Amino acid sequence: MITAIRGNTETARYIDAATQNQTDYFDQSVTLGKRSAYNDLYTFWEECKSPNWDGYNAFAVQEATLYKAYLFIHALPLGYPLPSVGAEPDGHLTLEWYRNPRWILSVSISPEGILYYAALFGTRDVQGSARFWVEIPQPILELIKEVKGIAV
Amino acid sequence: MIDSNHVPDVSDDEILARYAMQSSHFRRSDQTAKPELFMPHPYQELSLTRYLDATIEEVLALGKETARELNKTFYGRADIQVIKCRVGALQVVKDPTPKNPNHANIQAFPLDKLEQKAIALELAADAKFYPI
Repeated sequence: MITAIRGNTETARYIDAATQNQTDYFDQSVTLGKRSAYNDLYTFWEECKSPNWDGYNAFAVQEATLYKAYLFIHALPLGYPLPSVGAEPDGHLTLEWYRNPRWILSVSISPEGILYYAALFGTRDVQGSARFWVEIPQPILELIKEVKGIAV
Repeated sequence: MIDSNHVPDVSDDEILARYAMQSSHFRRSDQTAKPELFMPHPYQELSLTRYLDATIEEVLALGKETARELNKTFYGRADIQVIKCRVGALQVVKDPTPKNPNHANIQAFPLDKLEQKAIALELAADAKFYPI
């Protein structure tokens, strides 16, 4: 991405300033979008941080799991849609990218940072697991793109 | 409701209801069940209620009563046909309780987390959610 135009003419200075303004605006939009996702995540965790949050004897969602989910959302590259948040009875948080009930990706996050993912594309299904460090594993990014039908 | 002295086996064409007592167990956007509602942990079975010999009002009343006893909110039910629950080794069996003769379980979920997730995605896709 071009972030600055080097030059000394009035036109170059104008383009430079305009581009910087657009970049600042874009950065702010992304930050605000993710901030909303972080808020959703935290609000949801408040509901699930005690045992039996689902009425079926679910385990509590640990703070460590919340932190891993936060890091996952933080690591989502620009242009990728944000997920909806959920939880599973074993205390994992889930992030979901959804188009319809048969076109969906669900990623479970354990407190240890293990990612368990399952996707459905019509009659085809995909599953896998991976450890989450700093970057989101490439297979999961590919599945997000496939679910949402986007080219990033 | 089913006569508790004569509870028949579960047949493939029956409909079962899974109660949602957590707001994240369904999507408000299109009123569909989420896979999390069909994850069995910490058990290897999933608790449901049969519609056999019951009215919708009775099935709903059981859901409301269950939620009330657990101090939870009753958000609705996900209905699924028994034959759609027979995924892999899963079995659907009657499991009447003193308060609910229509109670049934989906049994024999695999222990493997990924297999559980894959099944839960299938079950949620085949279920129809009815908010309260």
